[in-house]
Amino acid sequence: MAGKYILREACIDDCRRIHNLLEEFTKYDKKPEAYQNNIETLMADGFGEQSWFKCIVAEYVENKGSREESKEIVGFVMYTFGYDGWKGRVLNVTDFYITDDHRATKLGLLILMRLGLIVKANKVVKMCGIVSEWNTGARRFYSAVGAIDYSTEVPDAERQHYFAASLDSMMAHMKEVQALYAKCEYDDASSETHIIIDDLDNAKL
Amino acid sequence: MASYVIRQARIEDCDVIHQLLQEFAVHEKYDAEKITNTIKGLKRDGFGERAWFHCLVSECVSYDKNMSSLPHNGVVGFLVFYYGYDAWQGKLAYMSDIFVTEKHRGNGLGKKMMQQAARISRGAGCQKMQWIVSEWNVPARNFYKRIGAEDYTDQEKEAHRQHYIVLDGKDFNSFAEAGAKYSSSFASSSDMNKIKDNRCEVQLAEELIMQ
Repeated sequence: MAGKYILREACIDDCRRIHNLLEEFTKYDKKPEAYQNNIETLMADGFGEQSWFKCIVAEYVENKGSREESKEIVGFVMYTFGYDGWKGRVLNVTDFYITDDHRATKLGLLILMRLGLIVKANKVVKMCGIVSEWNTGARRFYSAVGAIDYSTEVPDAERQHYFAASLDSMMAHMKEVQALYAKCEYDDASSETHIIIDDLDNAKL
Repeated sequence: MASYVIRQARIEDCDVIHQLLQEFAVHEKYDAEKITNTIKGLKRDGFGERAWFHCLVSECVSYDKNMSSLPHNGVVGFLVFYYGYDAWQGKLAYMSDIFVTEKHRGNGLGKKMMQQAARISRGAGCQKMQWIVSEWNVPARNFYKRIGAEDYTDQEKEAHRQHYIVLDGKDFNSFAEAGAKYSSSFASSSDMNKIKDNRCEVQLAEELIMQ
């Protein structure tokens, strides 16, 4: 299976798909009724006068034949800028989701790298996020890039974990992905990152 | 008996806020050098082109002769907060730092600053406020429980564990409402804009009343 990923900033028309993916995500969560947002609110909050969040989406473009090409958003990360009085500017990773088919590939790391670009451009000094206790996949993912879990495992499945990563340690852990990233094309004009995957199956970790 | 004003921070407060941050670090059992943020950073990030945070300060405006001289030009506490998002629930406020210098603790300034932050955030459209607190800070954790916040992390051992704390739902609303009570009472009160409790008088600055 050959294709390519495009990483780009979300636009207002992506909200329907993002909303659908969020609903997909809640099916895995222990509290699906906690999802109270809707498409209209996402559009107003993200793309209105004041932007309350930012979002990077990953589109998968599959080559289906000589002319045919299908394109679909298969993952996204929502983030906000914040602050830590002790250190300075912070980037909060608020929601990070990749569909089943594209999980456990290097796509997640590539999206994090894209965040790394944003972090550098904005002189941010710390990234952090909250992860659910049960989400061992996500916790392993963040640990693997050097983030530190500031909470411990406790009996209750509803516990949250506060993660913070120093950028130096993240970059040190991501040298392998940096090499991969070097093969990606970043288009300044459209702010799109094009990642060519020759063999999706072998891209899995 | 002492009198305080809670007001929005101004750019000239950044020097004092930085000193208080260093006191805060020591209070949290770190070295003052843990504060890697700078006065310049605070000025640029809080009062520059883009506001990376909002800040309230408590200023002591009068005190009786038994209290020692005022540190920090009268600013004795601060609260840093900013607006964020939760895709599932929408707009929210993060309280990133709250601190009152030792000599002026016990007057309820922390709570009053939090109430104002909650009120302002609610006015901006937020449905909840969240923050992190250290494992060992049992008085703070108990206080947060008393105002109806929920501790989303349970810690058992290490001294530097963090807790993810969320105040939302009707507890957030009633907490913000308590902040609104102070400000609305000023508009109608002829009693010179003061809230009195047993320990001190707290006054809200004009700009907070008008919000």
